Amino acid sequence: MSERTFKVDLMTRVEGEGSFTLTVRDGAVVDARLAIFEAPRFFEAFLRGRGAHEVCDIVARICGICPIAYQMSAARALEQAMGLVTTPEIERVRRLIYCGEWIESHALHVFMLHAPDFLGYESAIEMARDHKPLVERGLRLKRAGNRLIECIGGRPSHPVSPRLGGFSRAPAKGALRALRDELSRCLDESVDAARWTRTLTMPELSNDYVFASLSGAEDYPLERATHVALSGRPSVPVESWGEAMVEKHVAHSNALQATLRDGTPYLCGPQARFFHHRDKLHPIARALADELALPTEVRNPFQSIMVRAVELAHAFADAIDIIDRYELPERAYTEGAPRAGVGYGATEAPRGLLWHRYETSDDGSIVSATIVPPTSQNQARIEADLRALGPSLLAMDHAAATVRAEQLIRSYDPCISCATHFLDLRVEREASCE
Amino acid sequence: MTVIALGSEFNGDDGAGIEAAREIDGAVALGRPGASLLDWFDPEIALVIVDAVRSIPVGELVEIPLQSLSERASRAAASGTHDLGVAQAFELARALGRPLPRGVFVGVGGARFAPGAPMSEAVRAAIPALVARVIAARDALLNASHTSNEEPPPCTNTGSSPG
Repeated sequence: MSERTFKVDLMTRVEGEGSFTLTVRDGAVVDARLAIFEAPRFFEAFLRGRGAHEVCDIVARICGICPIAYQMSAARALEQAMGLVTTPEIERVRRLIYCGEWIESHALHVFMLHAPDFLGYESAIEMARDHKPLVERGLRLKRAGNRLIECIGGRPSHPVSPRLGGFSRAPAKGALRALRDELSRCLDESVDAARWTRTLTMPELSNDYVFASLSGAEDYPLERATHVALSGRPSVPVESWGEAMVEKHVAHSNALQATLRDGTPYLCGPQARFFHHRDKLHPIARALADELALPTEVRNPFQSIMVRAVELAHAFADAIDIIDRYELPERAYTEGAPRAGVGYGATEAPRGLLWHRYETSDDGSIVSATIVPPTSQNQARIEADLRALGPSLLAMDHAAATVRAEQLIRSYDPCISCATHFLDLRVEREASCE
Repeated sequence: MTVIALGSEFNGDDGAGIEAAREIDGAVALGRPGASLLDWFDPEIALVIVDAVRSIPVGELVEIPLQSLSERASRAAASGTHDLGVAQAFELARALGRPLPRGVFVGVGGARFAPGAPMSEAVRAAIPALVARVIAARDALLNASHTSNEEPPPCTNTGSSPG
């Protein structure tokens, strides 16, 4: 009997830590476990009793990379609970600031986190010594996203302007126009970057996914939706998503793992959005996907870097279009009266759909809160993909195999916030003969 | 001249720099900017960066020239992080061949960095001394600029709050 165990320690989703273990015995995967400690559960608890208008500021603190996703999903849910309807002008500003978040998050992941795996470096710092233009490009694109967020949200991280009904202050037309040239240059650079991802050597892996992405809006899914689209299954209203999927505790993890009600893991994020909504990409991004010969159904998780790069170009192009049409709204936000109710909100965080449910009391305070983040929803799918990857690792040397497993996990861009480190990979080999 | 405070006030001692920044006019609280810290690197503008550190006794103060900060970078911390620490940000700038800013890093030793942890008593007690050390470092850099007849750049304040 021969057995090899691969372990990844200290992986955190938001502020906690987690680990992964993959054990392959006699060529078959006998154990694939992803353990993540979920800090957002504490947020659900301490949101209770807080005022509805406090929620956007509080949930922004869940993540330093995707705070706008949390703010927007929360705002959607609470506005539904309060019967508050926003204006089309405000909706466009919401999409614009969300584009900024996609830009900074996707640029960070493509260039600083995932690229070193493909190019054979331990970190972006080491990669920078040999690939300075690549890293400088990543920093430029990320900075453009941060500037867009700061212009609308008041600061580049944990923005303070988003609120129920809109924004505390709408951005000045001139301030947005001042960003246009930079965004236009970065759009060109993002197109080049997507072409560069095609040159990367993609490890072989093909999985049969159930793709889950928001749907129901005219545009590529981002800041609003009515349904969750599932490949091969009927779509589900956002209000019913909590019944369509199941969150459960697993013995090896403090985290909740989500599957569909019948136990099927599903994948959310760029591949899922691309599968369901390729035709809704900005024409520039759609042409780019065609040029890259990306199949609509991307079954290889390593190719997510290509899809993410296409979405990066989409976000730049979408943002420019919104800025070109922008006029200062008469009102920055719509006011709503507190009332008892239940509301559901879902938006597409950079790494996948983010679902919120709130129950409010008569005075608008929070009775209960449920937050289902994308990485939680992808966990079971990651474990399934690790199982699929396991046998191929046996033919590789120890170091290459560990890098490959880590590279796979990074393919999902798990949402790890501002902790000082993310993945510390340790591999243990065990072998014995019968 | 810009004073930059790093850290998170929601993570115990990690909030020491942010707390100190509240007592210093014009200080910019950046939270945990990661690679975005490089956006503040301008060889023409001296920086005083204040943050909590793990590697010295709790409550003890340390001063390190920014030019040598990247030597303190931890390879482990740089290997897969979503965000870079301050030393890794300097190491990244050095790897990219960017000119590093003049100035000094002022740190205070911390022990509690977990989410929701209270600040250590020793760190809280050291905040006044930390503020004084940052102000002294800032004034020394300003005086050096005046002495060399350089026109110091105006203080920058983006209005950012701790992250």
